[in-house]
Amino acid sequence: MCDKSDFLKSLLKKASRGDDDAFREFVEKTKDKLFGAIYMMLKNEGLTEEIMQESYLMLWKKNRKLDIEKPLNYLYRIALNRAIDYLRKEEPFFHDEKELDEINFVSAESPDFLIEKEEERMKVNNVLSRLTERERTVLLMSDYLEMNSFEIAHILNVSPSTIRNQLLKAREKFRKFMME
Amino acid sequence: MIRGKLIERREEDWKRFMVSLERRKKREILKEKAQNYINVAFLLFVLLFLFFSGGRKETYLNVKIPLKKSPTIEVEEGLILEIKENTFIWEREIR
Repeated sequence: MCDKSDFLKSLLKKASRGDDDAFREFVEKTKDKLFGAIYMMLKNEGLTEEIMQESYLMLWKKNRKLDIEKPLNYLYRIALNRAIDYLRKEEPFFHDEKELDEINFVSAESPDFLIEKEEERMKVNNVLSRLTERERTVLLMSDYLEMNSFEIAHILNVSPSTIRNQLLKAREKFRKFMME
Repeated sequence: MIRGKLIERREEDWKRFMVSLERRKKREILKEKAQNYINVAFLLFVLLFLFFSGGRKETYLNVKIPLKKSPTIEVEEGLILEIKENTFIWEREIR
């Protein structure tokens, strides 16, 4: 993980110095995960592409002025913020905030699921679609983009404990739907 | 942990995405260059303005009054000097 982060950092550094190939490689290495997460949130291919392009350009521009320590986290943060902003404008996003805050802390492990076949991919997509918007976002951020609760809390502007509670509920639901 | 691709996209879609991204990046570079040129031009304009406005000031002050209460006041050709009663002329304004 650390090696990958260092590698991406060095690629971005080269890209900031004008190396177009390095920029292309950075995008190639990160695009699939970012696309998957943002698309699952917005369900709109054009909008997902637009948000991704803006995020890559912003990261590249920022890195020319400032050496970004964790480029992947920074990239996810920009893209997710944009996607969340869009969702907030589209419909109320925090409708189940109170309810989720009141959930008791129940132990639930992260769903370890490796997507290899098209059939599995379809099933995971369907299950994710059945979750609420908030559950899907939190689950994607945590279990797909590998962000910790503090980073997610910072983006969603809630406390880390709220995120942990929401994550538990989302994981349980995800597992239950996968079993069906 | 959910590992693997959530969405499988066609290669052409990614190619189109990359071409569009590269184009936007180039546009950003051009925009930055243009902004730099505009900044340099503005700076030059300010410097030239200061330089020329400073020159005119010198012409205005080019009045020679050798001594206090002296009846002779030398003024460059073409300039008008107005001296009113009880006006005080600072020494630093006199060459």
